[in-house]
Amino acid sequence: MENETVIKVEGLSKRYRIGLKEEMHDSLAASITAFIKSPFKSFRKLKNLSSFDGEGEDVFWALKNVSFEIKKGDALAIVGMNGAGKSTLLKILSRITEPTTGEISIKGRVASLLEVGTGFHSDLTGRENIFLNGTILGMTRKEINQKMDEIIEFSGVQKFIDTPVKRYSSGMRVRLAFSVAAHLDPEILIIDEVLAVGDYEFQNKCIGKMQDVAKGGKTILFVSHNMAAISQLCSRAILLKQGEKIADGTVSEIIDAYKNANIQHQSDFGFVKLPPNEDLPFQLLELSLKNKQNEVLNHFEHTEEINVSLRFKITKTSPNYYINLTLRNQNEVAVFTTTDEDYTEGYAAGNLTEGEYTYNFTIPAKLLAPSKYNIDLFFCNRFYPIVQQFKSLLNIEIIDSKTLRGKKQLYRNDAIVAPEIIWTLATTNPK
Amino acid sequence: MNDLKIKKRHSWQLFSKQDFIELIKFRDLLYTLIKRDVYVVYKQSVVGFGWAVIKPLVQMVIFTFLFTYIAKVQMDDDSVPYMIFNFVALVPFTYFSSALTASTSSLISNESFITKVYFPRLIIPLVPIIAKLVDFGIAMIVLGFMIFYYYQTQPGSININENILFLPLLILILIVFSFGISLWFSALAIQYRDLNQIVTFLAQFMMYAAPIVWPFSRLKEISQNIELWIGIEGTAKAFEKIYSFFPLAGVIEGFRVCLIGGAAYSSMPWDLIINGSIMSLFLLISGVYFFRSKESIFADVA
Repeated sequence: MENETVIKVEGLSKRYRIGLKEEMHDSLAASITAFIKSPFKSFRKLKNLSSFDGEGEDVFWALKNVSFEIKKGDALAIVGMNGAGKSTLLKILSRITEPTTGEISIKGRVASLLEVGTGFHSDLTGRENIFLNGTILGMTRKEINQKMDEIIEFSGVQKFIDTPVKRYSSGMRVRLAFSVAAHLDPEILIIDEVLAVGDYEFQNKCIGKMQDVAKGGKTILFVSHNMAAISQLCSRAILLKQGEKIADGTVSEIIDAYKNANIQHQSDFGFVKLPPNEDLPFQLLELSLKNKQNEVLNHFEHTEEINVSLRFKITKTSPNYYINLTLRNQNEVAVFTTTDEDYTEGYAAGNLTEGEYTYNFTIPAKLLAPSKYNIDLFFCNRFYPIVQQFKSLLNIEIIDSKTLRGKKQLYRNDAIVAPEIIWTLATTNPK
Repeated sequence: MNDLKIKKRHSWQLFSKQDFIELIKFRDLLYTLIKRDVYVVYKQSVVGFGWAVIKPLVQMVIFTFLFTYIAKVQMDDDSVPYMIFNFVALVPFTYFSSALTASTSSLISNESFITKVYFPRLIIPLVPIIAKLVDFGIAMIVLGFMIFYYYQTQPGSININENILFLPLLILILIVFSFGISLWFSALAIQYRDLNQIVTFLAQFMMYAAPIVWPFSRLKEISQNIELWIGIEGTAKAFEKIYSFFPLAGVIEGFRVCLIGGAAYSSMPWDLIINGSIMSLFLLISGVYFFRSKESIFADVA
């Protein structure tokens, strides 16, 4: 039974009608006639939302002839840029909307999490909301009663469980909501980027919980932009582009395909490549982050070095050029800043002649605390406005799964750096 | 394990046995949503459930003042106090209008569910229909006290009789009618938000169209006036026939027979009740089909 197909999608398409631009009226008479006619026009427009007589220019295909299969126990990631049709696909799979053509057959109980905390009512207490949210997601009251203690425990909001949810912080709400979802126990779990919420520690807890689900022989369908989460969780992936499936394969193949498909937007990959701009005298061409094995990544182990490589171009020289790279944590605090002038002699950007160059440097291992960071990059011209500036050019994540520290509950987890500090012991008063 | 097929539904597949089984499966959701609706309405309110009583009571006081002192309404039986005559009708009508208003906007106010989770959508308009029964029950208790008071202090005004056994049937017709019309309205309202405005007018119109402030016996007079005004013979009869299909008429007159009795309300108005039931059932069945045919686009137009 292990290789049984549980989801089969065949020739799936979905058509939407998008609103066209409003007309403008340039005379009072035209405005008045338009005002009188507007109820009829609005009626036609509202009616057209659900009917498709003729293919106007406002008809939009969110999905075009998508087919794939998922075997039991698979964890499949759906990857694609914004507007590629990922959410539409999940909505059809979770039966929220009907496909225009095509068919899906599903074997087993499905639970879909397209949003955390659907149906939460702020006037009800945490406990009441667990019932509300749980039944909305398809659990019975009996099941919820059985799992109530576990759900409350996992959420970590025991103290406030009988307080109305409107008194909760947004973080607490999310914890409670995810906790309900995590205890759904379906055979097939459909998840849409719900992990983009909560603090870092809780996100890890969620991924951990989902990994448990995946290991338990459950089938998972996961949409996310978080490549680190995808590679931790999924084995297979499909890539969508403008409603069409353009690739299907292992996660690393698909992530590579995604990188190549989107030259403009790869802050999720630890890799950025920009087309040269003729107007700039001094500019970035490429920035990439690699680990020791030379893999381009955006997530690194705490014990790994990060090799940064920065390709740039000078078309007009100036002694005032320099490059600044700043790493910020999620609270916008600068963790460190480094420039090409700090320890370089003779080859800082200000000394170079026209041409293309690459700087390489290493961010030491065991420095950054496990968390998420953003890289800002500035191409500067001293005494003049900045030539090029990139805020949050790349997002990186430091994971700590290889040290003893990472396996323990820490007393504090909001520290910015985590250098290797080794305590030694000397017995001063032997008995 | 049976396969679930997802594809575009055809119109003849609107309501199958499968759908019914699914509806049963989600009964716990229905229960929690009803509980939520009942709780939430009066949360953080000083009077709380008292509002369920105050609303129809205040209306009754206003109507009694208006129609006994300012514009005197000719009653069939002067021994029946206007207050009781009016309140007996206002209790079921208040249920109808509050259930209809809440149910019409239910899909819109629960939009977040519709676009994020799957469950049988029929549950959503059904929730206010059931939840408002709590208010109805409270108002019925107050009505009971009022009847008891008049029974004690004004002998002869109230004649409770065996027809009271038909009360549950009348309440059922009331519920079916409210749900039937709400199915139509809620499914339309999610695409055409105008329905939210229309429903307020409609409830007000029905308040005067139903025999709430005026006794049903006046209908003959009204229909004859209409015939005179139009000038075509038979209009009065046709109007009365059409009117008999208005379910609130049968329910309200039935309530009066059950709870007031006496000379003016001695026998159940069966023709009104039967025609009203036919209309209610028709609205319910057509409503379910209309709702189901629109269901697939809710998430797209919401």
